[in-house]
Amino acid sequence: MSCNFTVEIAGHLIQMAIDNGFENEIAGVYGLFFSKGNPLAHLDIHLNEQANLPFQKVEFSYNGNELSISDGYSQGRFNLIDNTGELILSKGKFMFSLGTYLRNIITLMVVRENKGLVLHAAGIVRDNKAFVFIGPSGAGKSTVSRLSTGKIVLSDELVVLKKVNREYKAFPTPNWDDRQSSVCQNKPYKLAGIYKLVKDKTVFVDKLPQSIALADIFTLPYMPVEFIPKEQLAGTFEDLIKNVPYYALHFLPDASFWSCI
Amino acid sequence: MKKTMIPIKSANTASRMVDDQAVVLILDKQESMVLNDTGAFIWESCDGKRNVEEIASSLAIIFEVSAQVALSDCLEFIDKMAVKEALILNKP
Repeated sequence: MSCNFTVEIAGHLIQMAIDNGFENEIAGVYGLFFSKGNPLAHLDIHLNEQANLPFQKVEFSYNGNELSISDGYSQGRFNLIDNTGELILSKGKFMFSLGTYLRNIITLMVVRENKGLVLHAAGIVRDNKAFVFIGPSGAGKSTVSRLSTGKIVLSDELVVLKKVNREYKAFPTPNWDDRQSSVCQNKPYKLAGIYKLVKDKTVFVDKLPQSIALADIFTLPYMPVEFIPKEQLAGTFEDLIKNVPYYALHFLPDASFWSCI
Repeated sequence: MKKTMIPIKSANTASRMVDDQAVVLILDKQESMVLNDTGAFIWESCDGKRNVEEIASSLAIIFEVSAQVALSDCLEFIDKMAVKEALILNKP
């Protein structure tokens, strides 16, 4: 027996058929993203009763038209031609592996669509506009998210940016891995700026040139290098930094940075 | 490195001119760098058709520097980019 539902993440509609028994957990993470739209992708998700397998680094392999993903707890594949996939999950890490699989499928779809990017970044909405904060681990993405009381935190880890009607918008993503998120509506917001986080003893914003912006924000989706259309991806990054201002945000561990933005 | 070696951009790189500056992206290493004018010229010259000495000769003319300085700059830049695997050095 299985339950079927469709989610819409960053404009991508994915139907999933999952073995019964995880409806509550699914609704907890993906409920906001449930959709009645017409899905383009279809995933069959099955349970492997074997639990407590050791975690391994997420690995990809690309075989012509099929992408394979495994992390020790699960094994999944996704066919790039007919947009169908199958995932076999270990019972003990069901939600974790499902999140890994979906994150990477969404990244694949966004990159292939050639309209957007998936950034390792925090996305926060103020006055109906999205602000994206980037930096390596420890730069302060979770901190600025936590300090943004009264604002919508799209995610403190992963933000999808897509060009919609000639302007870039930031999309919320599901609360994978129990990260910070205060999204209450599954809708995108116009991207107002990208901020590179710099911990400092004072608070100020410094506008940076486009060359620095491109060099700083360039990141790759986590998937086989041979699959990545590099010129397309570089072109999308170039288009992004030419249309969205980029700043260095020097900040203290308090909410004062919002007065500079 | 011999000045007869022929440098060519690695397939794992992409580059863009932004604000009159060259930005090189090394995809598999997730590294990026902004090149100065000299670096940008040398980078664009690494088309797999010219050797280091020929690139240096062009550099000397365009930037009005001595042949020795141009060759030194070329060797240093190309060596650095080859270490990063952004450039591949082919034998003549």
